[in-house]
Amino acid sequence: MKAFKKHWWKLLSVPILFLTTYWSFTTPLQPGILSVEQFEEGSRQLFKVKGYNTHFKTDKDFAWLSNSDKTDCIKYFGNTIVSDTEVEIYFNLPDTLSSQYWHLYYSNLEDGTLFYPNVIIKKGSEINQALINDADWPSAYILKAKGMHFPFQNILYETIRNLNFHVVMWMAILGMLFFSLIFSIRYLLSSNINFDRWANALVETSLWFTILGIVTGMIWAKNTWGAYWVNDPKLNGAVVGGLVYLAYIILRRSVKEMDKRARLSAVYNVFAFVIYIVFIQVLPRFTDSLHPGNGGNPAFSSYDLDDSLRMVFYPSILGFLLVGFWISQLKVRLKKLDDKIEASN
Amino acid sequence: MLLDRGVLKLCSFAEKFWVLGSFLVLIKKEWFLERRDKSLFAQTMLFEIAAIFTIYLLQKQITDERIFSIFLWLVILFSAFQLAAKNFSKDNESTLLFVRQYASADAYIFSKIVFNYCLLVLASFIGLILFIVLFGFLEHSINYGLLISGVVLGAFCLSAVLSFVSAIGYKAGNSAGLTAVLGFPLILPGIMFSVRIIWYAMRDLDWSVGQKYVMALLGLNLLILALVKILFPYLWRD
Repeated sequence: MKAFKKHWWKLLSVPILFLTTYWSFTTPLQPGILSVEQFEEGSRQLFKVKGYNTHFKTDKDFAWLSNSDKTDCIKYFGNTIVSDTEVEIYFNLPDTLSSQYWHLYYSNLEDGTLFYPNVIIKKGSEINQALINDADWPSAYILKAKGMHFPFQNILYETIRNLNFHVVMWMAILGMLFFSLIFSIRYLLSSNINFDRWANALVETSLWFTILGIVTGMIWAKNTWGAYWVNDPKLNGAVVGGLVYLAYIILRRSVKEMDKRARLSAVYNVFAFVIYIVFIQVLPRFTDSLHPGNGGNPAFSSYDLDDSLRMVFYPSILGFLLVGFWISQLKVRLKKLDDKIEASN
Repeated sequence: MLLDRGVLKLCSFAEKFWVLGSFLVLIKKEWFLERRDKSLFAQTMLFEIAAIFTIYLLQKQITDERIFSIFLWLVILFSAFQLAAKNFSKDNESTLLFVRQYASADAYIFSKIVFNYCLLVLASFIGLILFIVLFGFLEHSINYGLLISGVVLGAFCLSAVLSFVSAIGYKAGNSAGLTAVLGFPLILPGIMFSVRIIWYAMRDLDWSVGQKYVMALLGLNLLILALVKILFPYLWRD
């Protein structure tokens, strides 16, 4: 019971990581539209829609086009359902269109409302009363998909699951480095050598995590941006940030006296953390980055970190942080033993 | 007589403030050391001019303002390393004893930073003029405000970070090597901003374009100064 009270957080980390890994691989992706092919058949505009994870054969389907200001809407004329993932939708278009760019909506009860942006329509053909100048009515038809899903994103598709490993890894690294900073400050204030051991162990663990973060990021980059490495300020910042902390390790190895080593590395650690934050949080804001949240790209949270992802994302951060602390604690114990052996010699 | 008394009063007034009194004395000490040895600045200038001429002999013409800026900052960067390497090791034991008795740690590090900065700014401007003359940028229109602010702020970032890091290296007992290893990643953000500012200045872009980077560099400098102020006393105590 005593051991449980002392080590419960390690036990906690195992089910958390197990569950979040399980969830992030098994939760299905939200239904979405993969591609839309356009054909003009006389007066009709035909859209061949290919869906992903969709159930087009369910009842009560409905489709409309709306312009980008959502002021005009065009109701669909008819549709033929080919299979669960393929449907053909017909529209009768009016002579004059208020815009060339339209968003396609398709909704049914099972999949909710699917959305495909920027369908280009060159010309209209025939006046039809389906044109409605009322911005409000389609919003009443926007439905949610049944069940728990990860959001469907155009380029990401299934790779969005990597959010729970790659982004989480970097959050855990930042958290561990922050705690390392706290331990360094506490060492400077108290000269307790144990704080120094903790600060060092956390930095070492987060360097291993950095390798994992870079590898998961490279795999994701290959699948979404098309290359394992791109010239992106966040990638370069991550590498240089890693160098900053490698220099920390080298500083520790070059000083032999224990107290001096602890003091110098604690001072360097505080300095390094601030520069690290400048590297991965401030510098990317000055140049264009492919990462969300930088250089005009919207941040993840604003459009696709929805509740289902959050439910996995935040516990996952906690899980990786706890595992990082666990590894660090083992390192601290090893170092304590090493110091004892050295002292007895 | 009256002037003497005034100066004395001014000094005692200054000493009541945080560091200024001992700080001025330490600056004077640095100045006398430099004047007596005349080695550090001469070394740095020789290194810098040799580096610039090496670049000139290898590459007679630079047409791209960006490459110009990158070469300039690389030369200034290595000069700064040269300056920082001997920053602390030139004080011998008795001087350090005097410093410990007389001045606070803040005054000591800030005197180092300020003196180092004065030398580096001088070296940077000489290097900049050589670069402009040698690589044929005399006829170009240059945004001088941006240029000067870039050199002044960038050199400050270099000298502040490298002085601090060379203090760590000196304390670790392996001055030159460790300073280079520890300093390189830490000055990268400052270098990136500085290269950008000089690049824009040489292209004669408007002040409003480079303003963002000048402000960022200024903020970075203030951040580094605050960190040095907080951390150096812990580094210095024995």
